[in-house]
Amino acid sequence: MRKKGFEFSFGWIFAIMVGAVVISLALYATSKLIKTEQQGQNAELTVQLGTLLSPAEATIEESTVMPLEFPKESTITSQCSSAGSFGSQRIEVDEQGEGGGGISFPNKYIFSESPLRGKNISVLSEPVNMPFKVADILILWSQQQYCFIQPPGEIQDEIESFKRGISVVTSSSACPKASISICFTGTCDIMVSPSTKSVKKGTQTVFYDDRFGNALLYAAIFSDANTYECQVKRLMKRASHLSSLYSSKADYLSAQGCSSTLRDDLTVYAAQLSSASDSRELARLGVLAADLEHTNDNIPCKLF
Amino acid sequence: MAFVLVALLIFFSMVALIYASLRISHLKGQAGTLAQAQAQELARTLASAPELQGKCDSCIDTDKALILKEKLNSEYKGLWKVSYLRIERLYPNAQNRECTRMNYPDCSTLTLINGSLGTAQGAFVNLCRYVAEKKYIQCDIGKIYVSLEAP
Repeated sequence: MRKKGFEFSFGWIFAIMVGAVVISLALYATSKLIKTEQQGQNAELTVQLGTLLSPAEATIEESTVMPLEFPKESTITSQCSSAGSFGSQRIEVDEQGEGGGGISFPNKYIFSESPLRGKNISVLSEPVNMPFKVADILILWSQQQYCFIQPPGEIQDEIESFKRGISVVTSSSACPKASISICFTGTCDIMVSPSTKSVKKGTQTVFYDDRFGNALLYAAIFSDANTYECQVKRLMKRASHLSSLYSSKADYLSAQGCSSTLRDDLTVYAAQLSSASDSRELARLGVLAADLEHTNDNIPCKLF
Repeated sequence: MAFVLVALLIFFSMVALIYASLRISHLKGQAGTLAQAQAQELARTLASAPELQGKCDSCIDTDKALILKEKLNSEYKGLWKVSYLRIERLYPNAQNRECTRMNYPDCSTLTLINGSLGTAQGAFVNLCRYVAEKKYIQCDIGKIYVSLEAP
């Protein structure tokens, strides 16, 4: 009798096993390569974003709004840490949820909601003075609409110049649908109190000082409270170091024949800034800063 | 048959290795280009840094810079991710030497960070200082050189 059956030689078994291993290795390598490529693109985007944001910071006199467009809908995650001498700002751009590693910058100050999603991002650059220039801060917002209800005169002129995603109206009923309302009296999504220099969002309240410009007001409106407090703490640390630097400069100029009381005043101011813990102290520090500015304006060799 | 498969496996592995090495060298090139662009932007914007900025656009206050030089290894360590930072006066000519408190302002070079030079990027700036004898601010033409830290 002839037995029916299929003869499986060792060669065939080996060939099938090796083939299966080769195919699974190839599939694994391809998926890893795609993921690595995407991470590399995200890292490249993050570095490019950091480089692009530098010219926006360099503007000295006027606030400018710069549009940023990404190739695809992206998520910008910015993390603030106030630890160390200057704290740090970590930025990560993610196009497809693959991550890519963030990059840290100790000399950038980004105020925004975190994470921030969108294809088109608006970047507002504003100088912060206390009373000398401390830094140019960057305020980011995405396609979210913001509706300002009857802002005070000088703020209205500035806000209208931003244009992107901003509307200025006389009553809340005129605000676009799904927009975030900002009012200076009454109740709305974000409540600004010019008398107490505070901005209330939900249950959280932060404080600003507008003696030397409205940078911190806009920062408080467009960013979340935790980011705002962390960045303000970082700015105060930077201001403290700058105050020490100007104190040393006053000492040097004093030896050149231009003396003033600024050396000691700046040393005290540096210590006050260094010990400040949150945005509530901005009002008190603003008074000291105004005194420093007044003294500086009345000496022949102005320090700042 | 089995040996054919093994030979094919070895062949495709070698192709994959060559491709991977080409991609890595391309990535290194991209990283280098990005670093250069960063350094160029940094050279342009450092003149606007509060620690260096004078009272005008692209002005460096050299009085402040001289004092900052003494603080960069202590208080200001790590603020800028640069391995090399130098300010040089181009015009009017001054004695070709490094600036210190003893010879300032009769000097031409102020090296703030003296790490690895790499490929330094430069930008033209105004260098301004207070002249005590005449009680005014004098500005000269200079250049700032920056080289980024290796990642």
